[in-house]
Amino acid sequence: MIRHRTLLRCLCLTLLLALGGCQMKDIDKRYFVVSAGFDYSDNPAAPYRVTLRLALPSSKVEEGGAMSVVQTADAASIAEAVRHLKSTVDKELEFGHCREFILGRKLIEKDGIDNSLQWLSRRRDIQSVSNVMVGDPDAYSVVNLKPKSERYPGNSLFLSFGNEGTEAANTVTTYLFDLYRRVYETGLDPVLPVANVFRDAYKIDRAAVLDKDKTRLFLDPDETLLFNMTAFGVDNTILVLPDKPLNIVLAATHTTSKINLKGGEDPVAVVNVSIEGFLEQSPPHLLEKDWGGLERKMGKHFSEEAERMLYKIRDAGVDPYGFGLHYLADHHNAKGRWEKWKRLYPEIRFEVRANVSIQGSGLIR
Amino acid sequence: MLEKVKEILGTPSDFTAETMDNGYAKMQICFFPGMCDMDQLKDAIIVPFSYRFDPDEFRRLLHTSIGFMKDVPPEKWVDFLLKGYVIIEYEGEVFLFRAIRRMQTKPDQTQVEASLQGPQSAFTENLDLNLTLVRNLYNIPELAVENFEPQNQSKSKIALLYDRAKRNETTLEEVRKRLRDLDSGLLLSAGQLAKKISQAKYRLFPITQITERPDRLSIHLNKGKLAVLMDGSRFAILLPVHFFDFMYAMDDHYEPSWMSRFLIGLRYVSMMLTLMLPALYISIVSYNPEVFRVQLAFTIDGSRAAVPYPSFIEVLLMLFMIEALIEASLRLPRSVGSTAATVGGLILGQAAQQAGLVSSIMIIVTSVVAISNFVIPNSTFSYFIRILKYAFVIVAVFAGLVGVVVGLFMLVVYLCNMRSFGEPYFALFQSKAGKASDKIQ
Repeated sequence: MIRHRTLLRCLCLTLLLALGGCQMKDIDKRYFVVSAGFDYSDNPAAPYRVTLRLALPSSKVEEGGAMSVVQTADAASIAEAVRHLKSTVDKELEFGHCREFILGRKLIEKDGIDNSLQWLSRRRDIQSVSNVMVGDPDAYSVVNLKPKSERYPGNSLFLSFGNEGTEAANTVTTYLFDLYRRVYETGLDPVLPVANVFRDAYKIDRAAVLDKDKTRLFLDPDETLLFNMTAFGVDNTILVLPDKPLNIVLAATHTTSKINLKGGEDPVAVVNVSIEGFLEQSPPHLLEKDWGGLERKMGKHFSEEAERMLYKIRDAGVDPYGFGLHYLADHHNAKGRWEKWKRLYPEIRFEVRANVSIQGSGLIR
Repeated sequence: MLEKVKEILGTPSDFTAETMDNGYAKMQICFFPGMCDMDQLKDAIIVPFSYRFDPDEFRRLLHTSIGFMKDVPPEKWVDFLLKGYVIIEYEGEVFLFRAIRRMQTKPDQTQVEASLQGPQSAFTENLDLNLTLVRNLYNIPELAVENFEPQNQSKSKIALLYDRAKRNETTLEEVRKRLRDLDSGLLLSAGQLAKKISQAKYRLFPITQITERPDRLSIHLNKGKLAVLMDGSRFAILLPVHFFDFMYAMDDHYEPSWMSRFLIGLRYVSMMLTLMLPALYISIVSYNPEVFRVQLAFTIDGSRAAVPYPSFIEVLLMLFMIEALIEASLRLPRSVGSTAATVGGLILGQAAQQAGLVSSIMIIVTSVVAISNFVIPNSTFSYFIRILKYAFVIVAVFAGLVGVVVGLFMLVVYLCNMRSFGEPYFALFQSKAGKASDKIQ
């Protein structure tokens, strides 16, 4: 009896061997997509052009040793294009490690981001912490670039964002979950970094501000820096005070910003920014002469610049700071409140209160 | 007397049965020379009977010395003989003299539960010496010892130890009952006894702890718990125990506090690793490769490219190899043991990867699993963990990462449900003596 049972168990265990033929897709049977770009193809029958960069993994990691292939397909929707791409590769496409999604500039202008966003947020293997950006002039050129310094495919672009690799002061980082939230939140508009190819490297120093669907405004690098500091309190930035013969440059190591809405019928948005840092470039013995005065002068200059940028954003009719959300949160949320805010916003005044504190003039050697 | 004994025993060649005559009186004597201490026998019987013979003195000696037992029923004679007693008949009276040969006279060295700075003496295979060791460390009048002699073929003496002031009556009564009800058959070691008194055969974790250290036993008794010692076994059984007791090495009591805390943490981490790592490898490689960092994913992808079989076959293959290696080196004599390690470590590890049979990460997984398993201080417990990891492997094959998480949850539920002689097995805070629930499992 016992022997029969043991035999039966052994038989069951041998069935495990047959599992090799089942749907088990081991890691080596999957093709890792490392970046994906969506473009507008000018063909009304198949308007979406999907470009995928697929990693060819190797067990050795070395400088410039990243191997990848780029595949493109046009279709009537992103989902169809990806299905179509599957038939051109020999392994299962896996988006689990795809952290960069590039939306072509033209696609957003013609079609908006909604269709792409739907596909991105519905697929189960796409991570919410992926970076989303605008590709200028198109997504294909950004996906297709293979920088020489890359150690493994797709890493270079990924390291450009957040604090993972470089902490560039004028790179806006927008994650997929944040983009989704900003698209569906009342009173908060999405903002996306703009990436373009510049001499065998990526240049991501501008930002696109969108209404809920399409781009309304592109910020230039300086404005993007100001936006980063005032909206996100990004650290490790710089603050420049024009001066002769040489500009005075403050390396800001720590920045915090806080938004306050004041006034009922005539609201004023007060942005409190405090910046700490040390002087990276200045004429000799400048601090000894007038430490406080220099701090105030730098603060005033920053305020003026930031206010100019804020008015520019306001005039474009978008709200990436979430002033509207602040307003709805601060005020009793009766019906018509949002309509009232939409009337008020084009007239809102901004006041940037910058509190610059200079820690010193750098190291003394 | 001699006829009666010979009737039952036959005439084995290692048995001596004679009638001695010193010219004044006769004495019948029988014993197993191999089991008796001849010096004792000579001093206590032979010398007074032969060349210093004085009938009055000899009679007085037999009746007053505590070494001699009188009035033992004839049907018990053979049992005593087989334990190393000497039987004499003098002037129509039968006396039993205890002259058992003691194999061990000093404590053993610790072998299984080595300690760096703690006591180095371990239990021996002699019950009396073991009791001495315990009494030396736990030297208070409350220490109680109860003897049990199961009616089976080995008839090894079993001693139940507890602290009378602290013990839990329900647990004690239950253990007494189980010791009394031991079935027949050979009872050879403490491990076997532990298995018999824990009863349920298919438990996933041990509910008794086996130790060779008198100091561990003393600490256990001091908590109001019980210990069982058995003659002929150099291990004691501790009960009831908790899950967390198994992760203690005795050194934790003797080393600096920070270090021992760190080591305890290390043991728990190791336990989790040895339990989960193969399962995690399968589920991540086959189901959720996005859990890795991208670098690792590409490296594994690259090194797995040459592997012909799915991940779980790879894992089972390597686990089989390492288990075989451990088992082989355990049974091998010391002199050949290093050969096994060389063959296993070098040839299987490196070559299997170069031959493309397994990925390089798998080699690391296998070694971590093997080494972490040895970190667990109790060998019984580490056996249980060793077998349990296969359950996780099977779950991972069929259900991936979700299966592993659900499996871990079920394991915790199972542990919470377990009782060791009435005390909650997974209890973080140990209950005070006498407060355990009445239900005994």
